[in-house]
Amino acid sequence: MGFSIWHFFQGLWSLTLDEPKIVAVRILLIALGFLLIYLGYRKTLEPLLMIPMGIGMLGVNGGVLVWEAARTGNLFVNPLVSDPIELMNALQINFLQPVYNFTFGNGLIACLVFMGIGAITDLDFLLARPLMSMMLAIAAEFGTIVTLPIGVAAGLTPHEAASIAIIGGADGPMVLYGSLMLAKHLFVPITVVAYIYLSLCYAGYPYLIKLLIPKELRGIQMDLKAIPRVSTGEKFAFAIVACGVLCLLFPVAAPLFACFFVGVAIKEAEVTRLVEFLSGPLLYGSTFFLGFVLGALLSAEIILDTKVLLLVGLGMLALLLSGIGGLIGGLIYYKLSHKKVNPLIGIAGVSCVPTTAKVAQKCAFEANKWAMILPYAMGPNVAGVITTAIITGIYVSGISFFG
Amino acid sequence: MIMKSIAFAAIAYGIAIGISLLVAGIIKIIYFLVHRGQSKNTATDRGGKA
Repeated sequence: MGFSIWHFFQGLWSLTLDEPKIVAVRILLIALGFLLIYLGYRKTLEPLLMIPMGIGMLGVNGGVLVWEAARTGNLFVNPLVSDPIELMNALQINFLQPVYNFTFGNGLIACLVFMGIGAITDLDFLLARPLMSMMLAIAAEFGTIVTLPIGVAAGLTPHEAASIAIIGGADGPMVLYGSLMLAKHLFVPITVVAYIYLSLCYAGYPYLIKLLIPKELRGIQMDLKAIPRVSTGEKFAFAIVACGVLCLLFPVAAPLFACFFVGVAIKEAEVTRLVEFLSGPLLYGSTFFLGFVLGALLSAEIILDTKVLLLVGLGMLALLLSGIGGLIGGLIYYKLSHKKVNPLIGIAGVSCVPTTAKVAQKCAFEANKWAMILPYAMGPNVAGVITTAIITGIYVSGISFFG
Repeated sequence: MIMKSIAFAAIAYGIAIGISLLVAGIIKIIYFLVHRGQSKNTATDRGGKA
């Protein structure tokens, strides 16, 4: 290959060498990267994730090099490399390859995020109202359950359908972990779709609430004085016992349970320096690399998979059905409690901590400025993390026997 | 395959409900063990502040 001026501008040159379909998708993903960065900057979407994800996306789709024989590639990451010699080469060339192979491929990044989430989770309201919190969280897993057969009917394999259905649990690290275990070839689009939708929950769920719950029910005040006080010892004991029992029941999800509850236990044991480490550098460092590497993994070849469009639709359906399930659960508790429970706390069972609890509070305030329901909403919100982990454990352990 | 997946989803939901009840039960047991012999400890008992 002789020298030409294009050697200086290989990103542009690669646009003339790739197939037109790949070029179109690359340009689309660069534009999407800019959009995510802009929406993150404006705080419309979660900036913690969207800014690094958007930059990773436009970097990997723009920064394409031309190798010998007009082959193209990049210096970011190659998720498809598996041969040990090729992998060793890739680890020394691609700057994100070590992060991908040592933290994504084995689910470590999800576990690190979970440790941080555990260290900032307040169990008070779950322990104050355990039955109501767990049942509302289970109602809000409706989408996680129903999307599985819908995905199979739409042509996905049971493993693929289960991993996209986990989006209904609205728990980003769980979606990443579940899709790595169930459908590794689709984990990038599934996780990216999940994080974008989770960012949109704050904007989208209020419309669902207003559609399904009348204003007089949205404005119901709840008695905050009736919430029992929960001691640190109770929370610590619960974290230890629940961790032991759930790990025993679901060994495949044991890393997630162990990481979540170790965060909770350290917080309740008041080990201040470790709490600061888990809830600060570890949580935010993991979240940053999660967003950045996910963006860098989103290359044109990944998006051109014919199943991606289906995943986009099913992800939205899962979250919509979970929201509906949570609100129906809230309405059932409203009836059972003789109209004392505000049904909006049901949607907080969709465990996007703390977004959905804030959504419930925001909608309650709009209907009645004296309606304070956030403490009650935090119970199902935290319970949702546990129920999503339980269902992920069931899917990962059992789906092979039904596939 | 679709019927199988519906059956699996229904079983998964049933198991998840059962485990959730178990978790709620664990919390109740811990509560009773910690508060044996104590009066009902609510915010009202502490002077009416939540």
